[in-house]
Amino acid sequence: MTAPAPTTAAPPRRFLPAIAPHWLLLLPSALILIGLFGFPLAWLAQFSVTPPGQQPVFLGPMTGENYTRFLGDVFYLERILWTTVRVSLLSCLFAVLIGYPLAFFVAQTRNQKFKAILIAAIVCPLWLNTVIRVFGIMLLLFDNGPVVGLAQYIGLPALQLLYNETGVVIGLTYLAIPFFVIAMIGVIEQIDQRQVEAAYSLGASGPYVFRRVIFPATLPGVLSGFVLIFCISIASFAIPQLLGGGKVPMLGMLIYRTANVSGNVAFASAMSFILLGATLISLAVVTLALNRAAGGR
Amino acid sequence: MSDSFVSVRNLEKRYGAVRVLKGVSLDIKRNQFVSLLGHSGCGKTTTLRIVLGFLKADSGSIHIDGQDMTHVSPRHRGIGMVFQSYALWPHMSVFENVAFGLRVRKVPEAEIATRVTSAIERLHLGGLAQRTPRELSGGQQQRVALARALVINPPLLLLDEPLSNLDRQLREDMRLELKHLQRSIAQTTIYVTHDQDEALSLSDRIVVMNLGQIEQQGSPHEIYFEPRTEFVARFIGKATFLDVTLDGAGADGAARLRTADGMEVHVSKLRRRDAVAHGGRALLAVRPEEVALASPGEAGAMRARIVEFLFLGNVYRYQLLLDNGSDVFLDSRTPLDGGEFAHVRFDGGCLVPKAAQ
Ligand SMILES: Nc1ncnc2c1ncn2[C@@H]1O[C@H](COP(=O)(O)OP(=O)(O)OP(=O)(O)O)[C@@H](O)[C@H]1O
Ligand SMILES: [Mg+2]
Repeated sequence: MTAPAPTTAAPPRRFLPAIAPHWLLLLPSALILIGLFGFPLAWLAQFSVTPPGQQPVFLGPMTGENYTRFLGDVFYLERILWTTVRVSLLSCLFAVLIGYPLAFFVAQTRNQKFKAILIAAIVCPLWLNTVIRVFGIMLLLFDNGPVVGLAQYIGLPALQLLYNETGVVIGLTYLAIPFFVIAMIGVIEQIDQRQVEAAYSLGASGPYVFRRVIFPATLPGVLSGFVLIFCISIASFAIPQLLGGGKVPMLGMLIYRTANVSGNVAFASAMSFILLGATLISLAVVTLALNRAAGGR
Repeated sequence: MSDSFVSVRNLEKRYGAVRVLKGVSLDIKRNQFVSLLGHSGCGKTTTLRIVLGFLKADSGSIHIDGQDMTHVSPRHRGIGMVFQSYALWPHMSVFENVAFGLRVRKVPEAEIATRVTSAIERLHLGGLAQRTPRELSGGQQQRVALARALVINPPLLLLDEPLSNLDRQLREDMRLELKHLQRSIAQTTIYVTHDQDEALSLSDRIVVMNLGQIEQQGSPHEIYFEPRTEFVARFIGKATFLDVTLDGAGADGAARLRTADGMEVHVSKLRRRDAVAHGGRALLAVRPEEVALASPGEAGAMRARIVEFLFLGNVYRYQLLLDNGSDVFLDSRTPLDGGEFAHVRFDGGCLVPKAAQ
């Protein structure tokens, strides 16, 4: 038997008259992006290269001083940047580990009413202001609070859950879970049930089907969900400020203080770009690692 | 029925108030190729999914090779399945798709390589092993799905309309291919289709389903020439239908019938004459190839007006009108000579009980 002849490609579909080139469709979003995002970013870039003590002038005098001050200092790199990346990665990892099974449970729920209630329960924390939610967490975690009390009751040593890295990780995980779960529910519902059945009919066990068919099918979703929550976590400043008691120096918090308390906008701008770079590099590493994990059996 | 390899007893399934399966029973012998044939929505896929184990019947039982499988989980039934949508895993290469069932069985790597390669070769997929399903045509994907199911040598193979997504030419190629494959591996197979040509050409046995019930089971020849119900007679192939009562019968199989409006009809070889009692009412079904041209004076010749014809490639199919207003279909290798009228006779035909109104 021969391979079927290649079908000729269909002509591209046109939704606009021929005089309107299709890139015109980009115009509204391009205007918004350039006006509200590109332009301020360019300004911020100019700020970040302005010599200390000078007023920023667009395309005026430039220096790399603000960057070298951060990147040349082990204190900033290790104490600030690494802490930021580590805390964000850790909390996103926990959010994935908790959120994935939760999303799975919700997606598999047949009863539509129960499902709607579950989704509402997951989303409703987002209706509250972050600061209020953080105070709620603090009430749970403080030294004589219920969580510490319970831990002591079951015989664990006294826990310190607030004003340290643990507190920040708990807070960021809590913040990230709803976003991740909502992103994943759709992804899991999209899995082709026939593909799952095909695996079972070939004799595979539940865990094996999950590892080789279900998880790989959701991997692109996990990745985009991770990107979403990682960007939220790494840039957060309210949670490290409140739950870390200022003792967990995350970059977002430092940028906020440098710009608004110390008034060194130039240095704050440089740190913003460093944060952006760190975000992109971290995400590239995570993507590579996940893809490698999925490639193997 | 101890000699049947697959034995399905009295499957009942309802969705809410709707009875989707109304007591379906099937017996399939070892190495038989059986088609489930019926209109869309008659319950073919439902039956298949119950046999496969992904759907629970409300009642009824399934035995495979003498073992009660009714409550066995799908992964332990050892049934090979080819889904209508193929359900290949997009993130795995063709090789890995086919190898899946062997890896599950912890077959040594070297043996996996040889068995997968030979399955891939057998289905003419050589050279495509490292592609992903997205990089294949519909027909190639379909063959990967088949290779994936066959590589584990399942005692029973289920195919749910595997050819329905292909274009006509490819479908006919694949049909021959399937028949060839089926003969070379001699595998017990249940094949679901709503395409009667596919069922007639592929099967050892056809099961015709209608509204959740089995109308008739039998060889393709039986189903085509000796339909037992009006539904089967009308569903399979083209035919001329006449309301008749049995009037008289000769010993050689010839019969004299009378239509409801009194016209006399002769059939040289009447099948299933015992389907109705003498004088009882029935439906006469005559296949287009059983209708022949006759000379005007000949015994049993009937005059008919030529209404329309279709050129089918191999034959001309004529639609004629008898004097009493009934349609007759006639296949002729050559166009009929000009003229408004022709004379026809029935060389064969089958009696079918009339469906209750
Ligand atoms: N989950 C369900 N809920 C309610 N009704 C269903 C469900 N699944 C199937 N049905 C009904 O059961 C009947 C049989 O469905 P089935 O899928 O077995 O048909 P089929 O013979 O395979 O048809 P087709 O040739 O179109 O694939 C249909 O009338 C369908 O509407
Ligand atoms: Mg179906």
